[in-house]
Amino acid sequence: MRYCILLIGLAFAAAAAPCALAAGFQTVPLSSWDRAAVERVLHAFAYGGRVSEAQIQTWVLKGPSVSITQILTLQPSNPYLSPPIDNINQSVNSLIQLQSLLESDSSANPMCPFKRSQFNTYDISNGEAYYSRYGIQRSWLAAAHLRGSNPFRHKVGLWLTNYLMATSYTRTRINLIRDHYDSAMDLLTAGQSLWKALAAGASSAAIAMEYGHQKATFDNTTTKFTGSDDFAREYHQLFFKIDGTTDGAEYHETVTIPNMARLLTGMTIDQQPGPTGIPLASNNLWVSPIGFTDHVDGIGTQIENQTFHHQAPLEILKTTIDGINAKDKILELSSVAIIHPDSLNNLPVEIVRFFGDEDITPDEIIVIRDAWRNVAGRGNDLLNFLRAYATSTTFHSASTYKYMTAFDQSIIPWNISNVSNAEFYASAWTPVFDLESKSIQTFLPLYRIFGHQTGLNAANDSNMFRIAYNFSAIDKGYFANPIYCKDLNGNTLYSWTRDWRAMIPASADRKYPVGDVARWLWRRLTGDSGANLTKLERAYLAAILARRIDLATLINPSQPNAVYTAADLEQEPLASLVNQLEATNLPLNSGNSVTRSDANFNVAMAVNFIRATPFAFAMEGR
Amino acid sequence: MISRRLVLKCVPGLMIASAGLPLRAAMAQTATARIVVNVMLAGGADLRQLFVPDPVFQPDYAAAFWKARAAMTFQNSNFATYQSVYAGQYTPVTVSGKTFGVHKSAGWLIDRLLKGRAAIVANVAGSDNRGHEHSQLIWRTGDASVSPWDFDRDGWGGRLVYTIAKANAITVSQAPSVFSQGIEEGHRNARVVHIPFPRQYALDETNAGPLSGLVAKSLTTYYAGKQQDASAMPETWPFHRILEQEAKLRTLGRSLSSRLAQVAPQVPESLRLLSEGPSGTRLLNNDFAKQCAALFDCTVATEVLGMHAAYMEFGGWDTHNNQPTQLANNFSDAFGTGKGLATLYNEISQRNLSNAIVFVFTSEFGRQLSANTQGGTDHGSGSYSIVIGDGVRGGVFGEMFPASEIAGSVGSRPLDVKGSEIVGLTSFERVLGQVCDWVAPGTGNVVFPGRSTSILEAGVDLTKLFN
Repeated sequence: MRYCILLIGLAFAAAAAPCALAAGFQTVPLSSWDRAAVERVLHAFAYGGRVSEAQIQTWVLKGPSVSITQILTLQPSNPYLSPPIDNINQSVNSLIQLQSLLESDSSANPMCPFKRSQFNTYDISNGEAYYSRYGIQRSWLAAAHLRGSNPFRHKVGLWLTNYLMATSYTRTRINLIRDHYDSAMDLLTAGQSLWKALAAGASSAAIAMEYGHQKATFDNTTTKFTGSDDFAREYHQLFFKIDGTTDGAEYHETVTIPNMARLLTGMTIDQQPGPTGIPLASNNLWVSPIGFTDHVDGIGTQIENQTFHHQAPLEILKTTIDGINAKDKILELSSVAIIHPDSLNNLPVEIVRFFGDEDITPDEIIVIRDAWRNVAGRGNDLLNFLRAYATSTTFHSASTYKYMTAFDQSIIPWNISNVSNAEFYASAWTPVFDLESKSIQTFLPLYRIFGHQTGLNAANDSNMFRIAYNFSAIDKGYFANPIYCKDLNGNTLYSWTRDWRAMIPASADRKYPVGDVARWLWRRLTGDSGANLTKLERAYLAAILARRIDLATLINPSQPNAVYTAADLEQEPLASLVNQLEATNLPLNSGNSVTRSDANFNVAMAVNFIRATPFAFAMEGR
Repeated sequence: MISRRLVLKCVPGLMIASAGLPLRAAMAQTATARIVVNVMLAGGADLRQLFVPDPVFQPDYAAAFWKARAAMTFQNSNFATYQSVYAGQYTPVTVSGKTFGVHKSAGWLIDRLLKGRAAIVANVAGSDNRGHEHSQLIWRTGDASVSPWDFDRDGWGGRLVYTIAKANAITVSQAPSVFSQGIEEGHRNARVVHIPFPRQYALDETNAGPLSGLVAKSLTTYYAGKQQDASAMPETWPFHRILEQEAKLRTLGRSLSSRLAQVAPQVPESLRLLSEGPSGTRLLNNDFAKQCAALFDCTVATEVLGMHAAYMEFGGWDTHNNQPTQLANNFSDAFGTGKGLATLYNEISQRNLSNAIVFVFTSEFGRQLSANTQGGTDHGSGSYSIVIGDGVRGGVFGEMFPASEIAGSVGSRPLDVKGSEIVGLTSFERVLGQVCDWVAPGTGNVVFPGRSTSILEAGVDLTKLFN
């Protein structure tokens, strides 16, 4: 019998439970669990993480079983993956908590006063207040980026609310989406099964408004139903990936969906006036959660969610679903849906496609389904599945590749170069500006209910490539320029400049050979362990880092448009030139501040270069 | 699927494996480069609200139809009310000897129908399920058997351009579409030009910036070298896709910019106003307005782009509630006089380019005939296909309002029962294949290998779709 010490977590390691969790996935052998494997996990699952070289090495030595329980947790703060350097980790339990802090005048708020308004809950227009999408979107980016917050948790949160249970602020209200996000993540953090998070989503005010079933009613006396099929279909198809294959199209269309529409009755959303002193616009009074009883809401409206709910049991998915209100029935139904054959077949493939692999082979699908079947419906099913997959031979396979979404492309570089939250506190724009430049927004799925941009979508999107390329090509010193923290009057309180020494490891003699710097940047920015760092990339990076010049001009100033291949650069005298450049020490340690600043700027240019190469847009497996 | 290696090796004796037909045989060189523009009405458009029965000419159907929709539109099923609403909201149009109503907000479409430059194919179906995403995938690939999860597939626009030398499939929608993807596995983008902003379609090659273009210059020559290195990499190498983006942006960007500077230095004012004009001129769907301007830019640079297939997407047709208002807005934006496509058509017509373009409108499915109780309709099956272009021989193909829908034919429900829908009598392969034949003669059966054995409504002859 196999035992799955690693998958359940350290706390349970001693119990050595039978390894039901590992069925399906084969864990990579220790010999394959190297630095590259750890970096691959960080890149794919945790927006690169915010870890030191020493931590990566520690995980290599600990092996996949122990390491993965430290890398992937759903707790708001993960000291291994994102070690806190200030107190922000105490305020990241929810988006609403983080936003409340970052917009506040509290002395505990680390945001520079001039930038706090970027996180405001409300926008004011014509004397009325509206919930601000910006404040919530930037709070999510802060949660995914700041040291002390757990980036894996928020990648899961993004998947849940922008892909699987996709909600768009243009069709509901952003404050309701924030609540939807927080409640779903609370359940997963508490170790609940994915179906409970999906049930919470299906019962949420955000979804009820998005699909319009907040207005659906059932008259239990006359049996008159008022509503539509909209979410009745999408609950199955989008949330659980149940498309009627197993039950048959006729049953799905004539029993499951009509009865589901009747289940989704009695879900009227409460309204409440805003906090004292803030006159909320009349279309911004909706609040979470839905009250499923008959009651009077905050503005005096009689809500009859009990009366107008279909009170009798309903047959859905060939199961009798009972419950006194819509929430109860959704809960019961979701526990059935998560183990429905359609869902067991389709949902895990979608999970893997989002996190790890664009090209899932038929053999891999069998493995993935088996692995999910063994955990689906149990506590921590999603986390355990992702941990098992992240350490599996399926993920760490030569056939695996993953295209980076705009979120990945924008967040990873800022995360791996984040040694101090001061930059974010002063500017509030890293990685906000990076993502916004691509016209990609959190909580505005590109494909509406089908979800946000996938990796494959991004790879096929020439506009996305153009923006990302040009963002890097214009020599901006995003990763080097000083940032100024200002008070409300615009007076500088402090300045902050990235010192790459804090991230890039020095050699034994405390120097920074250009070749080593290039290799480190490449590995961390691409997550490819250097596999695609050919002589061509090395030469260009060496020219930028050592001489701040483009390679062709360096080789022959009279032919600045000359093209070299990797093979050309293996030939003499070019090979020696590249070696010579790589052996040059980058003066990051110089006592001269100007020299040191120049060296840091060269690193920033190298970052720009790497971010525009093909290898920043995709990641391969082993 | 066909591999890039095979394509490169076999051109010009290339075969499409699934079709079994020599592409060379189908490779057409028409006198004027013809273009199909696929306008996807995403969400499942209820075109049974665009075209409605005339109370005089189809009284039985009209009575049943509006009874089934009373809850949505009129709050009662009084026939007189229907007549009055018909008179107020619809223009009676007689085409192919059949009179029916067309929503008045679709003035340009009415004009095209009356001038014999628009055709309606009735009772068309592509997807046999009511799921948005899968059904859209079916219509974009032109393959009714495609797996719901197979997004890395060839689209019918992509297959079409592979039958034409040096042709590309253009996408002007904000997000790329499977419609344009080609037949080379691992190189689906090889003949795709995704170009929502043609006037910004370029990589930075300036010597500007604080370092006189250090990174831009480095990247330009780096990519040129990498393109050479990559030719040795296996077909499955995922980075080919990114390199193809770079290559197209680099080469097409330069020539497109030059071409636009020559023939249309500015976006025509009428098209600019669609997205930036005052209320009334500006479309409600700003995204579609921008796509109309983008398609204009592409059309005047057809040769540069190798455009033979293009894709636009108009969202907002999933009308489970508030349907009458929402659809009136959509009909106006898409088909209205002086609105999106009318303005685009007018601009390209002034440049004598309109005779080379045909617009074909698709949607993932039609909607149910009977209204729901929330002011809308739920997902159905069959619908109409609309084809508009100077080369179109106008008319109606198929029965606009089948009498069998009133009581429900075998396997379908009566019109006024929830769940009733338009039964598909003509396959989408029949319609789209015919469009392909117009773009490049002989390609319809290559792009849609199952066309000849797919369903076709009795009495319908789609070979008469074009002049």
